[in-house]
Amino acid sequence: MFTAAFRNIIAHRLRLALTTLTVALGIAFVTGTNIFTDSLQSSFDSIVAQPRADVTLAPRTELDAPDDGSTAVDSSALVLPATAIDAIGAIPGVATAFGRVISDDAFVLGPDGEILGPEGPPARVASWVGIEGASPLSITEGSAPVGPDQVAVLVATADEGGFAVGDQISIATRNSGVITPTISGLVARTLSGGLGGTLVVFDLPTAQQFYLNSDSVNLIGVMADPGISQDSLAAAMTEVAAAENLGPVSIRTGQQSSDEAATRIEEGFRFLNTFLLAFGFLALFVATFLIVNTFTMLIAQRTRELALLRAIGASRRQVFGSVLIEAALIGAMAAVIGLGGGVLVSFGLRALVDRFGTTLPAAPLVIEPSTLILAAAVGIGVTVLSALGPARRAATIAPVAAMRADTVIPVRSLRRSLIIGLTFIVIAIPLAVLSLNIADDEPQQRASVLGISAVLAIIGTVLVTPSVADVAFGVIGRSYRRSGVSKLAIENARRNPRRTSATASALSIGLALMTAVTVIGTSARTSIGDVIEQTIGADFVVTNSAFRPLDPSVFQAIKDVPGADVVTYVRTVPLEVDDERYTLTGVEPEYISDVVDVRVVSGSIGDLALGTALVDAETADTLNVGPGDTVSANFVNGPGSLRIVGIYEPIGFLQGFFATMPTVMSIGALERDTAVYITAAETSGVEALRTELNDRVSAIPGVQVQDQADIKREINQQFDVLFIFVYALLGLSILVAFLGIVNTLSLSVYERFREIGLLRAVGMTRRQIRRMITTEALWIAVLGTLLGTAIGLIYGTLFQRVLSTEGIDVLDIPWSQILIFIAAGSIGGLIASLWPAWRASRMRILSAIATE
Amino acid sequence: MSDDSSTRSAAISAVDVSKIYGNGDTAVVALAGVSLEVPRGQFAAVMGPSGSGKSTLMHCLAGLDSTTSGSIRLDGTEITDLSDNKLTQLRRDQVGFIFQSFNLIPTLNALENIKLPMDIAGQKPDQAWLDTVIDTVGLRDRLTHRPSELSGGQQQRVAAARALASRPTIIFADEPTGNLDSKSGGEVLGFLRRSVDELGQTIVMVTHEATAASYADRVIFLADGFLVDELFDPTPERVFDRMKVLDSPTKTTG
Repeated sequence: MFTAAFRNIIAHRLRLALTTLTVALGIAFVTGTNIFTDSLQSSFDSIVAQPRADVTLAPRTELDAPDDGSTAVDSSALVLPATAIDAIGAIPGVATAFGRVISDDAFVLGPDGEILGPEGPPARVASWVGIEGASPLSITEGSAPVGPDQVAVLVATADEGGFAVGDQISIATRNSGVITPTISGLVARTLSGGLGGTLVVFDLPTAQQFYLNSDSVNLIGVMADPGISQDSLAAAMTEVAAAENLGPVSIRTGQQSSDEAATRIEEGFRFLNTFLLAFGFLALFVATFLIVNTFTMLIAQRTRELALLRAIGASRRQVFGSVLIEAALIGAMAAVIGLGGGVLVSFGLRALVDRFGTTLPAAPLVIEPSTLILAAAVGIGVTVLSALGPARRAATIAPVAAMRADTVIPVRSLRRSLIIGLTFIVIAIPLAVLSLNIADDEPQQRASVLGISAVLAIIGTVLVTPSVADVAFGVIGRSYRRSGVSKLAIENARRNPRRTSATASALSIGLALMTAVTVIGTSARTSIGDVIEQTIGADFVVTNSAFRPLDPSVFQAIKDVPGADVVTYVRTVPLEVDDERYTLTGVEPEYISDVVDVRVVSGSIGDLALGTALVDAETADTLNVGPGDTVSANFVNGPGSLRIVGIYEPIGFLQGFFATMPTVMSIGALERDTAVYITAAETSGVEALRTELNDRVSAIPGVQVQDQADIKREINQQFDVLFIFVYALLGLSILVAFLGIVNTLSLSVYERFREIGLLRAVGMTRRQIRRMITTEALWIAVLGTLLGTAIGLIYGTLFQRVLSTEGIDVLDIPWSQILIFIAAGSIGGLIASLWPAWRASRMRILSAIATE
Repeated sequence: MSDDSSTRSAAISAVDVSKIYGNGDTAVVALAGVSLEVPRGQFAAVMGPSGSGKSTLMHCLAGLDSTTSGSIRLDGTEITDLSDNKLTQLRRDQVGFIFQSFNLIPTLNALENIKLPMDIAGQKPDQAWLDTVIDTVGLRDRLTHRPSELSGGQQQRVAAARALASRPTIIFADEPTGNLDSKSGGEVLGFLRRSVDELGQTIVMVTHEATAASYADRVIFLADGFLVDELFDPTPERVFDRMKVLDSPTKTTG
């Protein structure tokens, strides 16, 4: 039986090539993801055990845990006195203590004067440590920066800007505006050094000069004497910090930092891994439809051969086994090819991460046994499971079929799958209704229930599709008066509803997801846009392009801009109530209503005074407070309270507490503005105002002047990136679906070669044959595309409803985009049919009609 | 064949047609210079042992296969140098086919199969003629049935009706009764005979059955690619006698 199975594969290698390819595609994606992460894991020690200070001491706020690395406010604004370095350095067992400046507002200007990667992650700056083993940064070329005229830049930053060692580079700094030091060297950073963005490195005094002052640092690191434990040093430093009145500080050992970095990286990659695997498995799932089709058709074509095997004494079990062995061999082959592809995919992922400016350790290519097992298990598993049904049918072929001239595999009734499919759909509907009726404050539960409903609906639709195809194509088929090419095409599509629907469903699944993502994404985009429209009454908003707070100098620079009616700024500071974090926004009460549409329900913004706040209705509900009540909270500078004097209606991101500037400053806000809002005095002066504002902020790096349209455009761009990313990943399963169309049609053409020969004999031209096949493909693709987009539309809409409390409160269905999907899906099906159609048209008439 | 029939009025005429498969030592001669003429309204049978070239001759005459040399005129048109498209059009408009098996498109019902060549061409069938054909084959109550719901004899009658429906210059029938029992076979042959007698159809039929050949006006005998004999107004016995003679010297396998 093994030999028979093997010979069959050889005999049908062309017909099986596409099947193998589709399975291999899925495996390549799945194993590639694993190889990539495993390779990184193998060099994990080098990632984690990178040079870093033995203990670090950094300022924190009262809201932060003492050993947490992050802070509730902009950490670069939190400083320690430089004198503390000596105090720490005096601790017995400390070999060296050094101060560092770390911030993320060093904007590197490209050759064209534009900020490099303005939309991207932060523009980091760090001071060079210069102590062996104390920093994850290393010089790869040139030398470390010395003095105010030298800077070292990240390799990726140099690449992006086209800089080399010795070049002059323009960097916009916090204190000194744009400077033009010379590049002394290039630095590399490891994974825990962060992903993306730009990085420039100065020596400590230079960094202090540009970012703080000579008396301050952002962080103090120490290196221990040999034999001194990190923990004992940390304990000693805690005492010194208290003695020196350094305020709340975060003291972390190198070990802690390593562990955290390890966890963070591991989690990051696990997430990436899971995310990518999901798309890989989706493609494999789609491939199963194709495998079922292929085997069903191959077996139908081999009926006589299999019957002959039975006639000469092969048992049912042996026939069944031979088909499964054949499937397993194909799966194994796909696994091998897929594994090869996986190596390529892993290189691709690596290149992608490298592009984001992180130098990954030169990890060897690691193919873990688990990856091999996964590839084999997935390859063989998917094919064998898919072939089970066809194999069972093969085993039921009666030996007598060998003697019949024309054997017809009996068409199984569609009723069973129709009933099961309808059952799934019938269960999915109440679940969808239920999800909409679950309480608003359980969005996760709502989404999960709807998710289950969506999965059931998709499975149900897949099962119902054969009947849909049968009925729909039947009706369309009957509407043709003539039995020309078009009618023959649709009758062919209808001839085997299972085959047609399996092919169509493969396409549906990818399109359903694509449509749903598009509907949800577009709704989210529109919702955000609407909130911007509803809330921002200002003509212009001045912000930092990297979402960092603004230095007060920005407000100073524009507060008396001519042509402006109101220029006002806001500051935000986090606070904690009942262990939940909220945002307190400090405003100038007399101006805020002119620039932001705060819909006050009770009380008045004008009533705000020191120690009082407005809160949005939802938060008030959650905290169970109303006007006159006092809320106890933890602020960044310690515990305190706020008295509520009014309630307003939350709109999108406009939520949390509002208070006056003095209140905000009293609870520890930094001298940093979140944004500055400007309204023009006259409508006709808006453009002049824009020009004036741009002039005034142009000297301040990273600061942008935006109107509503600009803000929306920026948001749209971010969504576009997201869409492209998801479409690209879903493209894999759609590609598999198109390969499925090629495969199914090739096999059907082969199966119908006599019929095609007959049509040619009685007068059908080659062109008409081609048109018949492409039309059939078009119908299949249209069916798959329509069903897919329909499900996607329904569930995209339902998800929007369910997520309406999460800020996606506007349903926006981008019909033109959906139409493009439908058109693209249909045209894709047509393109997929070109090759089979060509082959059909070239079929030799005589070999088709010859009876001997 | 009557002497006064000119090439112009012949439904089909072949002059020195040869067909050689392969080349050099492996060349196989299927037709070795066959000339024949079938006048309009004649029912001609082509007989011969397996491998005699009778099917090849029919395929060449019908424009399904190319010739190595020689000339074939169908209704006066030289077909040996036509393009695939022209040939296809010619088959569609001027030739009817009845094959031994697999004559019908399984997805179309009987009526649709009958009208198929005209539907492919986008032509409107002549309803009166269609009715005549349908009644002649006696299929009126079976028109909406699909091939799988028809018996073998009925399927061949549908095929015959299709061949007739477009009023072709000539019908080629390739062992039309090969897969039928004698009763159904007789029905089909009787119908072919009637279409010649009553409708004036020209038919060339390849067969190896003497009984089938006896329905024809004329029997052409082929052996080893040569036209070796002819017989007019055949009876089964006379055909059978000729066949015996042909079969005896060289026994070929098919």
